[in-house]
Amino acid sequence: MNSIIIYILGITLVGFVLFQSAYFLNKAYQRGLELGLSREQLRETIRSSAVFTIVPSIPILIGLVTLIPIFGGVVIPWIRLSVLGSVAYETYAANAVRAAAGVESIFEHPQVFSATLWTMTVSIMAGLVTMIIFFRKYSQKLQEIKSKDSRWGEILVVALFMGLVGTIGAQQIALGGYNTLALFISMAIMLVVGLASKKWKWLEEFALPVSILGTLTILYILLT
Amino acid sequence: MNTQEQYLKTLHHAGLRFSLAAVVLMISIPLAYSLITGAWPTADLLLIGFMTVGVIYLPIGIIEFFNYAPMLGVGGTYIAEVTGNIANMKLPAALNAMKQANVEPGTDEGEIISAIAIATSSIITTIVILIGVLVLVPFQGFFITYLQPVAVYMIPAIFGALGVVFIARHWRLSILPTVVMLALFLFVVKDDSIRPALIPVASIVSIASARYFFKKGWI
Repeated sequence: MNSIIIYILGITLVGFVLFQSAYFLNKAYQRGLELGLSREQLRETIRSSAVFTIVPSIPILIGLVTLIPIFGGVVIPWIRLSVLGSVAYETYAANAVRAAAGVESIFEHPQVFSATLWTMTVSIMAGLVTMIIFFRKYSQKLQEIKSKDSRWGEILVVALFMGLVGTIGAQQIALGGYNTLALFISMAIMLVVGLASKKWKWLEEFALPVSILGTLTILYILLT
Repeated sequence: MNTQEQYLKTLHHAGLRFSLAAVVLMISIPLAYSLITGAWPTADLLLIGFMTVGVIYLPIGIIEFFNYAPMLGVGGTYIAEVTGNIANMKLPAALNAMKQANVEPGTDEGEIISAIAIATSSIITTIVILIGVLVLVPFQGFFITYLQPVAVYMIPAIFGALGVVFIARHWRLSILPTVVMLALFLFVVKDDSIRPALIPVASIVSIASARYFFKKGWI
């Protein structure tokens, strides 16, 4: 499963992801300047987003490593994690097909491997396909709500986010144990760093990464 | 037509083409494998695969799109729906950037800051994964020993911190969805794997309460 063609397709896909991101980044940057946002502010957004992204990228890397034994090589985990999907999803999908086929490992059986690849590729595309079909209309509808009453339009978006925060917060509390602890440690660190950043402005950029890393470090100490 | 509308129109025009290309590229991987090895999936395995995997992730994908798109903005959504990791990376990156830039999600400026944050995040994570493949794979033992035990707590670690920021700003809006979901999870839905699929319930509760507060003039 280390065919050169799969590698070439992987490189193409990753190149495509980078190109698409760069395209939208450039468009947004230009439009931001037109809207009167300063270069300084836009560059700061790029810098702080880059800093933030490093921390949640680490579990994806770990996940990549754990997927290697399942797929018998690095190329498929690399491709799968560079696009839609997640470590949990790929593991779940691979296990589901492996169990259905009644084999020990999927990569020793080409037909099972093939079924796994098709299943995991197609099953995760619902959001992407929905976007292709409905996004333009949906976005127009949202713009209409905004132009009718811009204050309510903004509250609506915040309310949607609160639905997500409420669900995840409640989920972590309901799980109890270290999940609840992680939630509250992270909240406490953010509160402290947030208050401190009122005095030292430069801290603001690091508030989220520091909260995440601090929480994970405390948990590591508690767990070991 | 104002220029923001023109801008969004350009994004949709390009985004649609990018998305179609992404679908073709993603499908090309299993297709190439089947063509090279001659191993096509059997109907029974495919059916079981879709019954166990597709049945869960198809509705989740659709729900997530409708729920996240207003927060991510147009440009952000087109990138995030191709690169994934929305809840644990793209959305937090966008919200964090909007908070720092002092702009609200859903505004014209929010659209710009969110797209820049998500694009940057996608580029960085793609590069991190690429470096990981090239450099870190030989040291996989270290990662598994030291980082895997705590990696499962990444979600509460991210959302605790982000939650504080948003609750501090809009605390009234946070109460009802959290309380309702907590009651639901403690007394009704005990299977943790299906809990995230209930985000739409929380969204409806949240929007309804926000609408009520808004009409009352409390927010």
